[in-house]
Amino acid sequence: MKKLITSLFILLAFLGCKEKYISPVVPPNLGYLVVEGTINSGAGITSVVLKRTVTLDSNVIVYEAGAIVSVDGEDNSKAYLTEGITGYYTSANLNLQNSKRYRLNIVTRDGKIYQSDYTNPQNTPAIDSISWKQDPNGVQLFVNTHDATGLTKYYQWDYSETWEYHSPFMQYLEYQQLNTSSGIKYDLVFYDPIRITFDAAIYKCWPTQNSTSILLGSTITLSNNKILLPLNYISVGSVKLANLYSIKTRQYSLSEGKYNYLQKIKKNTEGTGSVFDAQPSELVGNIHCTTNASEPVIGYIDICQIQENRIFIDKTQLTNWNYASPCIQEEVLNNIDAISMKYGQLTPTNIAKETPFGSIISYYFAMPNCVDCTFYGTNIKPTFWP
Amino acid sequence: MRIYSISLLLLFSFLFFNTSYSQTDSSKLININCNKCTIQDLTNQIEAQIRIHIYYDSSIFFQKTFTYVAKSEPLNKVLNKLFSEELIYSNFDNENNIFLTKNKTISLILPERYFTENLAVVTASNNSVDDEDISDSKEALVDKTIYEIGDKNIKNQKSIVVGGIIKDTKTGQPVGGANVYIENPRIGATTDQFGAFTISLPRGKHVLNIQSIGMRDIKRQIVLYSDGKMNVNMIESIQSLKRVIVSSKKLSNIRGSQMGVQKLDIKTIKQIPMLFGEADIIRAITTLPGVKTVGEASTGFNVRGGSADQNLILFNDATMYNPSHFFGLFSAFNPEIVNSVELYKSSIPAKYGGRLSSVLDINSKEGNKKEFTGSAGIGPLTSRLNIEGPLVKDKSSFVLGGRTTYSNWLFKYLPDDYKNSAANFYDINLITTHELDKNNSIYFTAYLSNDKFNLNSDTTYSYGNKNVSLKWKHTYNAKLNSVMSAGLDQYNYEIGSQKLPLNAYKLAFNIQQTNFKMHFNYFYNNKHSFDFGINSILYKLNPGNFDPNGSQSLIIPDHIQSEQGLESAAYFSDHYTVNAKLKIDVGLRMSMFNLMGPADINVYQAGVPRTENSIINTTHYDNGKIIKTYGGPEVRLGFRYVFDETFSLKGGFNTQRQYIHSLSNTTAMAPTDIWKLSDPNIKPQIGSQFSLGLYKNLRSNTIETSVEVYYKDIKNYLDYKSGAVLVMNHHIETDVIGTKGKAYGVEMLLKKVTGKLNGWISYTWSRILLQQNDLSVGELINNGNPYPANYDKPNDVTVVANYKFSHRVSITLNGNYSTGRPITLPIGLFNYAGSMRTLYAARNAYRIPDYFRTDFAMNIEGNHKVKQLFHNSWSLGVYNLTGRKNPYSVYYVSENGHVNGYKLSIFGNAIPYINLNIRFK
Repeated sequence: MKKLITSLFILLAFLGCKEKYISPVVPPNLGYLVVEGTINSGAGITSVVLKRTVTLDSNVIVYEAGAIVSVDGEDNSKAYLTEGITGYYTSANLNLQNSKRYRLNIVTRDGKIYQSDYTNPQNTPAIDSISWKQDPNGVQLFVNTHDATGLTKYYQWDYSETWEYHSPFMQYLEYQQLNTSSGIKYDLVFYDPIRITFDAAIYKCWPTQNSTSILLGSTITLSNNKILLPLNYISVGSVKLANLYSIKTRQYSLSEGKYNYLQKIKKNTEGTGSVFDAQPSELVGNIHCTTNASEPVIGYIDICQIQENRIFIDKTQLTNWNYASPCIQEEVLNNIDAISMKYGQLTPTNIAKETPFGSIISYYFAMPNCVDCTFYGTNIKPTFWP
Repeated sequence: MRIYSISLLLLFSFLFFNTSYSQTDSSKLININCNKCTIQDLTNQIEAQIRIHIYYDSSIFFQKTFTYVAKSEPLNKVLNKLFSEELIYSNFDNENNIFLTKNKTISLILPERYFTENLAVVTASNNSVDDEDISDSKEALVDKTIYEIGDKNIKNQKSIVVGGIIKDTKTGQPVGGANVYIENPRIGATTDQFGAFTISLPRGKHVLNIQSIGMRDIKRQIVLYSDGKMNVNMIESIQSLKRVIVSSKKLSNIRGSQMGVQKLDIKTIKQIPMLFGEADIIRAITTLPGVKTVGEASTGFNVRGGSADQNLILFNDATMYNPSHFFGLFSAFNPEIVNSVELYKSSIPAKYGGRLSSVLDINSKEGNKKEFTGSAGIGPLTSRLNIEGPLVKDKSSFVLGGRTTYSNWLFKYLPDDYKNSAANFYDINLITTHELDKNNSIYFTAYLSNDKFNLNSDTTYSYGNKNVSLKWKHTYNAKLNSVMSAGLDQYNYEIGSQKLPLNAYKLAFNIQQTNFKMHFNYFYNNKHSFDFGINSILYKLNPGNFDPNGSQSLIIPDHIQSEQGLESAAYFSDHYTVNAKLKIDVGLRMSMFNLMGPADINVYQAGVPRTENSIINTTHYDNGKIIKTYGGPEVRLGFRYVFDETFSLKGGFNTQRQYIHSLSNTTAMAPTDIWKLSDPNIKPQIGSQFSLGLYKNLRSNTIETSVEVYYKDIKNYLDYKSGAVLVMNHHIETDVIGTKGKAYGVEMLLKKVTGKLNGWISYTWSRILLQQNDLSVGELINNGNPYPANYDKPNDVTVVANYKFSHRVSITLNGNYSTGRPITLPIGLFNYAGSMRTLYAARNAYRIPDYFRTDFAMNIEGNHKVKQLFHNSWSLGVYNLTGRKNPYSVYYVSENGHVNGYKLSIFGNAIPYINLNIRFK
C-alpha cells in the first residue's frame, strides 16, 4: 500500500509537478522539549537525548543542557543519568526488574519537571542475523529475528554504519611557509625526508553514519513471530563498500503505544502530501510536563532490553562493485608564486616531474577532501575494527 | 413537394378560400366555361354553383391553366377530366369537401362531425389521442387539428386530467423535461424521465404548448370532455442557419417549486472543456454553485459543506459508490449514454433518502426505437463506442456503450522507474427498454466498470462497480402511475502484493446492496399531486479480508466481520398548488435502519473515550438478529411564491438521515475508503437544512438570476482521530469521532440561456466548520474549537461562457477561482531518530494557495446534412490554459535529515487535447 502510494505520488508529481514550498507564515519558536531514547533494562548503557523544537525555517539542532535526568522506580529507586556531550544524558547498567515499573524524570534548568508514564520493562529477543544480498543495483541488508515467547509484537531498529575509507590520493608533499621580503610565501617539501612514505594519518579513516529513518516492524498480522525485513540499502559503487564495511543494528521491543507514536511521526514526515496519504496529525506521547500540564512534550519513553548485532562486509565478498572516486588531481609547475596562490585551497599530493637530481619540476594537487580522509570521519581506528 | 396529410391541405385551403357550405354531392351537375383559367378561377366557378368546398395545395397547380367547357355535367366527371392527366385526384368526403392531391389519393375515413369551424377534428378513441393514430406522417407539427379528449357525454366534470407521453418522432425515445402548458389560465407540467406528464385543465377548448430544448415547439388544439390521454411526438429542431430562436416562455426556474435543483443536459456538459477531451459529468457538476471538489485528483465532490460520502449518486436508480476512474481524473459515466443529470442540493424530494447532502440523479438515454445508430469517440487516452437501436421496432430498444483507456503509452514517456507500470479501466453499459403496451414499460440497466493499476511496484490495485436494475413503469390511468424497481449494486476493491514472498498479501473489500423501490404518483387534481412509496435496501459489507497471497506467505488470514443492515423508508408528499402564486411541497419520509447479525459488537464503558482498553464486553448476535435499530422522521418542506412572471421566492426545510458512512483520513475520497454501517457505537448522521432563494429573470427570460442562502446543521459527522488506522481495523469506532458540523453559505447564479453568447457565472461564499469539544468522546481536536473541514473553500467563482460562431463552430471558455483548501501545516521542527521532523498542531489551520484555472474548448461540427450516414465532430481544447500550477497539497518531508516543504500540483502544465466523435447509422 505504502509502495503504491509512493509510486502514485511520484507519477502524479511527474504528470503534474512538485515544487519547493516556503511557507509564508513562520510560526514563532515554541521550544517544546523533545525527549528521545529508550531506558535499557538489559545490559549496557541507557542514553537519553534532550532537544528543543525549533522554527520551521531553522535547520539546527538545539540541545537541552544542564537538566537533571533520572530513572525513577515505583519502589522509590532513583538512578541518575549524567550529561556527557551537551544534551546527551547516559547512565551505566540500570539493573531494572521486569516486575517493577519505572519512569523517566527530567528537571530542566528552568525548573520545569517532565515525567513519562510508569511502565514495566519488556524483554527483547536477540537479533537472529543481519543478512544481505547483492543485486545489480546494490546491496540489500535484512534484519532477521523471532520471538519464541511470542510476547514481542512490535519492533524498532536503528543502526550505525562504519566503513574504512581510503583517501583517493596519498600526500607525499606538503607546503612549507617561508617568510620573504614580499610577505609570507609557500614552498613544497617532502612529508618524509627520505621520500618513502606519505602522511598515513590522513589516508585511512572510519566514517560513521547513523540511520535517519524510523524503522518499525510488527508481527501482529503474521502467523509466526518471525521477522525478515529490509534494513538498509547500499547503492552499487557506494564508497561504503569500497573496502570494509560494518553495520551495528540495535533492536528494541516496543509497546503498542510507542509503536503507534513512532508510526505517527513517520507518517507525518515520511509520507504526507501524496493524494491519498493520511493527513498529518498531532502527536501525543507519554511524557507530561507536571508543572504546566498544557505544555506539549515530544517523545515516548519505553523500557526494554536493547539487543545489538554487528556484521562486516568486505569488498572481496562483492562482485563488480566498481567504486570510483570522483576526485581528480592536476599537474602544476613548481613555482613559488603559483604555489602561494593555491595554498589553502588545494593540497599537494605527489611529484609529477623531477630533474635527474631530484628537484621538483611539477607536482600534482587535488581538493583537500580528496587527500585528507578526516573530512569524512575519524582517523582513530574503532575498537571493534579488525 | 411532398404531399402532406390533411392537415397541411387544410392549412392551405384556409388561406385561399372563404368559408361556404354546400348540401350537394359529387354527382351534382355543373357548368364550366374555362379558357386557360387558373385553378382558382376554376374552383371559384364550381363553388359559385354548388355549395362545396375545394381544398388544394397551390404549389401543385403552379402556373397550370385549364381549358374546358361543360354543360350540366356531373361534378366528379368534370374533375376527373380536368385532373386525371396531371395525376391529380379528387377526394370527396361526406361533408361536401373536396381535397385535391397529387400522385395519390388520401383516405378520409374520419368519424362523424369532424368539421367544426372549418377545422379537422381528431376524436380520442378509448379516451386517448395518439399521433400515430392520425397518420404515419413523420411531421407531427399538426397545428390546425382539433383533438377531442374524453367522452363528450360526461358533462359535469369541471377539471380534467390529461396524461401522456412525449416522444421524439425520429428515434422513439421519450422526451424528458419538456414543458407542457396552456397560456390562459397559466397551467403547466413537466415531463419526467419517461417523457410522461399529467396536467389538469378546465373542461373545454385549449391550446396546449409543448416545448423542449432541441425540439421544435408544438401547439395542439384540444377540446376536453373528460379524463384522457394524449401522446405527442416531437421533432428534433434541425436548425436552419442564421435563425436564432428566442423563446420567452422558458420559465421553469421561476415557476418550479423546488429550489436548489440544478439540471444539466448532456449537450451542455459536452460543451464544457474537459480533461483529455473526455466529457465528464462529475466535473461539469462542480461548475455549479455550491458544488466543490478537494482538488483535481479527487473522487468525490462536496455539496454545500457535505463530505463526499454524503452524496447519493444514482445512475438509473442504481447507487454508485465510486463515481470515478483513474483516481478521479475521469468520471465513471459514459457521456454518450447519459441523457440528463439532476443535482438536488436543498429540496430533496421525499422519494430520495439515505444521504445528507445531495442527490445526483443521472439518467441514461433510451435507445432509438426506429433505427440503428451509433457513435464513437477517439481521444488521446480513452475511446468509446456506443450502439443503439430497436429490438422490436417502436416497442423496445437497447443502448450498449463501452469505454476503455489505452493510457499505457504514457508510461513509456515517464522515467525508467515507470516502464513496467500499467493503468487500465473500462466501463460497459447496457440499457434496454421495452414497451409492453401503452401502460406498461420495462427498463433494464446493467453497468460494469473496472480499474486496475500497477505502478511499477508489484502492488496491484483494482476496483470496480457492478450494477443491475430492473424497472417497471405502469400507468393505471391518467391520474395514477407507478414505478417499481429492483436492483443489485456492488462495489469492491482489492490490493495485492507479491514482492516479499513471506509477506505477500491480498486485501479485499466489498459492499453489496439489494434494493427495492415502489413509487406512486397520484395526480389528485390541479391543486394536489401526491407522491408516495416505499424503499428498502439490504446492505452487505465485507469491510476487509486480508489473506496470504502465495504458498510461502506467512500472512495470517484476517477477516473483519461482515456487516449486514436493512434500510427501509416509507414516504408521502403533496405537491400543493394553493393558488397561481403560491405552491407548497410537503413531504414526510419515515426511515428506519436495522443492523443485523451475525456480529460481535464491542460494548464500551460509558463516559470515557472509546479505546481498546475501554471495551467492557463483547456481545455476540446470531444471523439475522437485530442488533440495533435507528430511525425517525425526515421532513421535506418547500414553498414557492411568484411575485410576477419573472420574479419568485422559494424556501425550504429538509432533514436527512444517513446510515452508511465512508471513513477516511485522506484528503480526497480515495477508492480505498472504508464504508461502514451505523452500529451501536457509530450513530447515524443527521442533517437539517434551511434554505431560501430569490429568482429573477431578465430580458424576456433570456437571463436567469438567482440568490440562494442556506444553513445546515450536521450531527455525528464522522472525523478521524489523530493517527487513525482505518484499514483492517477490527474496532474502527475507536479511531473515529463524531463531530458536530455546521455549514452555511450564499450562492449566486447569473445564467444566459440563449443567444450566440451563453453560459453562466456563479459565485459561492460558504463555510463548513466541525467541532469536537467533548472530552468524554475522545481527544479534543484543536482544543475543542471549531475547525474547517478539509474542503472548506469560502470563495468560489465559476464562469462558463460559450460562444457560437456558427452552427458548426463554437468555443467555450471556463474559468474557476477558489480559496485554497485548508491544510494542517507544521508549526515547528524537531530532531528525532536521526532526522529533522515536523511538528503539527492545529488541524486545518492553514490554507494552500488559491486555486485558479481556465480551460478552453472548441467544438467543430461536420456538415449538417440530415441524411448523411456519418456525422463527424471534433472537439479540441486546452485544459488549464494558463498552465498555472495549482497546488493540490503542501507538505513537508524529512529528506536526508532535513525537512523540506513541497507544493504538489496535479497538473503543472496546460494540457491540450483533441477528440474525434463520430455518429453513424
